Amino acid sequence: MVPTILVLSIVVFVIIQLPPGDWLTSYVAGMRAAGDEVSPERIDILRERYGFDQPMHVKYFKWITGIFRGDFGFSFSWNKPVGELIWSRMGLTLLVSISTLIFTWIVSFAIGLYSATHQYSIGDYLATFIGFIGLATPNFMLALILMYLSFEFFGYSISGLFSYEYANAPWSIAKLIDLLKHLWIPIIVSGTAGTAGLIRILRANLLDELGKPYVVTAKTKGVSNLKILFKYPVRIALIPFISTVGWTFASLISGSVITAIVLNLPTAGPMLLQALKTQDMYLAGSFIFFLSILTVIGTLVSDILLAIVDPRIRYK
Amino acid sequence: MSKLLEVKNLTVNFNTAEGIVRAVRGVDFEVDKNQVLGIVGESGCGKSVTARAVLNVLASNSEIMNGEVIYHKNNEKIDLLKLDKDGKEIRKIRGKEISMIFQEPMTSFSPVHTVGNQIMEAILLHTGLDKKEARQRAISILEEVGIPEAQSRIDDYPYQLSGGMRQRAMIAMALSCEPSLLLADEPTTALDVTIQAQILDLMRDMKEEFGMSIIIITHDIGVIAEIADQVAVMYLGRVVEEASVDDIFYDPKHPYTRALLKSIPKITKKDQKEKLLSIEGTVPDAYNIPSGCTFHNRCEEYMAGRCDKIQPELIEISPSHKVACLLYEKEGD
Repeated sequence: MVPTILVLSIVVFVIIQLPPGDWLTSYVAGMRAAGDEVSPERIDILRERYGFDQPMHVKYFKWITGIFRGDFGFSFSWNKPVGELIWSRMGLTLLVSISTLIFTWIVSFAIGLYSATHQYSIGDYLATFIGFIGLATPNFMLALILMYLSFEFFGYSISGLFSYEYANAPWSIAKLIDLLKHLWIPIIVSGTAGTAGLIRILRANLLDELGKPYVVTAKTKGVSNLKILFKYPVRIALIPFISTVGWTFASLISGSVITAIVLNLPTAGPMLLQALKTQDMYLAGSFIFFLSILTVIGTLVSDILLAIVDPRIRYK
Repeated sequence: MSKLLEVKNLTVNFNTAEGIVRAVRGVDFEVDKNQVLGIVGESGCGKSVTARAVLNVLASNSEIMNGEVIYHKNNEKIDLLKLDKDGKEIRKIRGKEISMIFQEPMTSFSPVHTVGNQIMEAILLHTGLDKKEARQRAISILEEVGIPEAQSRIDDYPYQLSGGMRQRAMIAMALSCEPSLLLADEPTTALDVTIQAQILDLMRDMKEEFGMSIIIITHDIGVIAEIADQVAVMYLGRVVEEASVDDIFYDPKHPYTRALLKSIPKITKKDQKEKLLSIEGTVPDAYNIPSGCTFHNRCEEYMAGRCDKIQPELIEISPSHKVACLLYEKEGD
């Protein structure tokens, strides 16, 4: 795992340096567009101050050793250390992602189970229909519709994660309640597509498993249908479910950028996008590096869970 | 001998996308206490469906159209098909009174639970034993069926056992609650020949030890010769002949039974080489069952104008020998 993360850090660093130019060139271009001229002396001073003139491997070495000391580098456009910027963003991002993941799992598990055990019933068709609509609707579209409906009928704005008065306030019970009031929208918006997909996966897996001979064996032992369902087919049908945790998690964080922008969420997505546009390399690099680590951790967690659920893949 | 199970006029249909398949069309047979009934027939003749219908554990696209399955529990007669197929009463019979083993022990065990877990499940369900006692019972039954080091093997997963061991474990699971009847659906088909003989020996020993009856379903007439007392020959969803094992082998009446016996390879001396006979044609499509006697288009003794018109009933031609063939029906019947 450690070598994987080290290799990842190199790849991340190379990728964010790949676009021509650096933060300084986009800064100067931005200033010029605004009508300001930056003197060449000032550019040289800035270049030296931020170390843009050093070769890539030196910059990488400085960055990676800094990370081990808890120093993620400096964000040029925010004029703040990256560490300060990303912690609050990452925290909220994790909160939204994990809640979305839990929502996705619970809803898709319940509906998928129902769909498979009542195949071709009205309920199954309804779930399939809603599922495909959920899969086909772009998230930002759903976000816009929900925002419109909420503003039109309930008269309050649901964008962001906090109401205006709590946005910069310290944590309190009232702030938490306010957060919960706002949280359900991003959960639904970024969760529907995943839920719809998982419903289909679980339904297909379960239908496969329900016809397996071991289900008949359990029946001939006199075990009740409900007990059979949960002890045998559900457990085996969950295996592909679990193995997707790793990348589901990362895609929940990075995939919801458009939603986050539309809903004005203070999560990692929009900030990452902004950082990439302005070539704010340490900020963008730290974000991408974090997402990579989360993916690696997600994969590790799913591997451990898989080994618990399926004895056939345990190491001997 | 007293009866244990009677199957009367059992009729099962499958609803498939291509149409209705009449898999079992009015099957009758009986099993006495401590008797081994062999049901033999080609693939697709409805023998496995018959076995599953006894416990009412058929696939969801099948439907039992007609018939009775009467189980004699002490002096009580229970029609298993009248019980709710997911209800409590039949679940008390499944696994405890009547249990079942299958062709493929690998897929018939859940791959993600230990063998012991799956054996104990039945014991915990049907007896008052607690977990520890159930484990002891599972170990002793595994020893009984000849699994070495049952103490540690009980915690193995099915994939860790060999094919023969798995089938032994399957038998142990079926016998764990000492049932009166064991339904064995092709129990030796997936095993190699030496293991087959061992499993058949084991089943015979267990039958003596527990005093139970067995219905063994097979397409292998050799297996029938090994183990069965009474034999029912099935063709396209019907029993065409039912007799004692000796009568089936030495005095077969139905042309299909005779043809089956002729198509067994024999070990002969080099100079007496005979050509292996086979039955003409193939088993008809189950969607278009022939009229009259379903065997008429492959039969060597086909009587035009009769066999393709009249469906013969199973009639008794001597005590304990029944045959469904127009050759044995009296003229004018």
